[in-house]
Amino acid sequence: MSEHKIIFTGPVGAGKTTAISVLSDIVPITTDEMASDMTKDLKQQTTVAMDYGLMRINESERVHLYGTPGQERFNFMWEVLTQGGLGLVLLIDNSRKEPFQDLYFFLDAFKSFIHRTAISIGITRMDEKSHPEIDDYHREITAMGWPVLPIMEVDAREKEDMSMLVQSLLYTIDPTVAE
Amino acid sequence: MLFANHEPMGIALLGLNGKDQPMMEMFLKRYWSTQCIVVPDHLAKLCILDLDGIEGNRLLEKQQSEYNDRPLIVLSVHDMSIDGVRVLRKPLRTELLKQTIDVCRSEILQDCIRIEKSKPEAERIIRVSPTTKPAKQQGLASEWQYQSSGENKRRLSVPSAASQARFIESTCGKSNRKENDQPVIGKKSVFYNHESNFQVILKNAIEISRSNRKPAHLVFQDGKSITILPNANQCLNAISDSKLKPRCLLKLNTDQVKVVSSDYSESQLLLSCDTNPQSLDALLWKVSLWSSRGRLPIGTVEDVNIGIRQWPNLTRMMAIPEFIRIAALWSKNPISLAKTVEFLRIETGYVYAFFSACHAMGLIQFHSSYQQHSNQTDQLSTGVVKTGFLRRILRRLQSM
Ligand SMILES: Nc1nc2c(ncn2[C@@H]2O[C@H](COP(=O)(O)OP(=O)(O)OP(=O)(O)O)[C@@H](O)[C@H]2O)c(=O)[nH]1
Ligand SMILES: [Mg+2]
Repeated sequence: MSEHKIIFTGPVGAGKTTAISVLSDIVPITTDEMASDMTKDLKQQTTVAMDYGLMRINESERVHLYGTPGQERFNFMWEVLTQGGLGLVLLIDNSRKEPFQDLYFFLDAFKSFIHRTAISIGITRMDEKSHPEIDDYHREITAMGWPVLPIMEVDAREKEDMSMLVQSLLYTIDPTVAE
Repeated sequence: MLFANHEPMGIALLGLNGKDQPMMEMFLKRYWSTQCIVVPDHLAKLCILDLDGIEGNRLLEKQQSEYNDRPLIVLSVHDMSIDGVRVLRKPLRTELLKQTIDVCRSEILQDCIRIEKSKPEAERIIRVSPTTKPAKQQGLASEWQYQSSGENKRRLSVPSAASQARFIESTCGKSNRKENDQPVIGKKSVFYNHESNFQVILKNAIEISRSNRKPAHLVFQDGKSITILPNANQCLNAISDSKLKPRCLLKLNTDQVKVVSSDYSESQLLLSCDTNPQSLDALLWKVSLWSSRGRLPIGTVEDVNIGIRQWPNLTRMMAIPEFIRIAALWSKNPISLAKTVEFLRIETGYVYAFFSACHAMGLIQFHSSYQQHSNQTDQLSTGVVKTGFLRRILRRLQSM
């Protein structure tokens, strides 16, 4: 059995659990609990441990989809979790107070993994709040010294959006992959 | 315990009209509080479907083909029986509805426990509709998402091969492929004059409107118009795709399309309009693709290396998977148009169309042709084993 994994990360409520569930062939294993006081205003349920989903490619190949718990700002296990991962999908909730702070935080936390592999960034909840715009995110990452990265508006509930975001991650790893 | 069956049971409500939906939600909340919650179709364990709406039969067919092992409750004024489906006659008796949902809940729970017990620890995961989904035509889904009119909301319908071919031809031009399926490289370029067509009129109008921060109307001779809302970065487009597409190929002068500054504010225009606002970038993008039809804007120097300043927002644009590949390549390595075709082994028209749209959006960066493409490009396809695997995941994603 050939096993690969893709890591999903991002702040509370960005849509990690949702994204994994739309891509997964199984009902994802998730440990959502009622949110603590801190996040209750934001959402009722939050993931307190890892999200897990699975894409079966064929009889002998599978892609594991792991999501980091949003409430947790950092965990020493992240390094372990990313070992052998194909790349990172970062979801940023545009409706949060300071989405750029979230962007800085997660790019920094996963810096070495991103440098080793690839990243694609999905901006969620733009239907609820349209500013900042995608162009603003591009400007931020350029100012931070990152190269050109795939950043796209997504709705984590939409399979086509999530599919395209993951495709952009995989083509970034190797654009020559063809049918 | 980590199992999803400890979560509330997700119920999808389909086909209910705007009035019935909230009532059904209230009903569920009243009897099951947080035990049953309304979720999107693909996340549900149980589905309640109103068969009497216009979409009723289509929704039923979808349920039967895609989720045939999931309990389904159908509501209808007609007396009928459907194999494997619980039909409740309208007007609904709440007691009967409650009982039916309870029966489904206990079946679902039993099912979960049975699956959980029968699997080894590592695999105790519940599957939904494992292989019952009909295979979509490969690679078409994402190619087609923007054929329908609303760019802001995506509607996915799987196209026929003929309509897919029409879509590609209208954006990337006619296929160049020879019998042996090899892309034709080094074909004499075909240019189009973007300076004299609608693309440039639209682009200029957007630029002026943005710099004045005032809405503008683009009014065609037949009275049809597109209104630019620069602050919202949106437009009100009264022209259907099928009418706009041919206009992109015409030489237009200022008599045929007038650009008029609007007397109204954006909010007034938004309030009074009867069309959905669309993204301005998505409009310029598709107009550029339709203008290009796989050709290059006149004056493009072909042997310079091309890079992109930023990725286009492809999830909200008219796109085919090849555009993602080109974006991935150009974002990493400046490379010439001809080399792109050769390197990615794709149709010249795809590369030219993508270039034209990116160029119109101001996303292209030119690099001197003396600058060699970096070693990274040469290393890109070295992971042979990995590449095969990536291809299979991509194929899977494109068929979703
Ligand atoms: N309106 C809107 N809702 C979205 C979008 N993306 C996700 N959601 C919703 O946002 C809510 C939160 O999503 P989750 O998937 O639970 O977020 P999460 O990242 O797992 O959150 P934590 O586990 O708390 O870190 C869900 O109700 C989703 O349906 C979006 O683009 N727009
Ligand atoms: Mg979560």
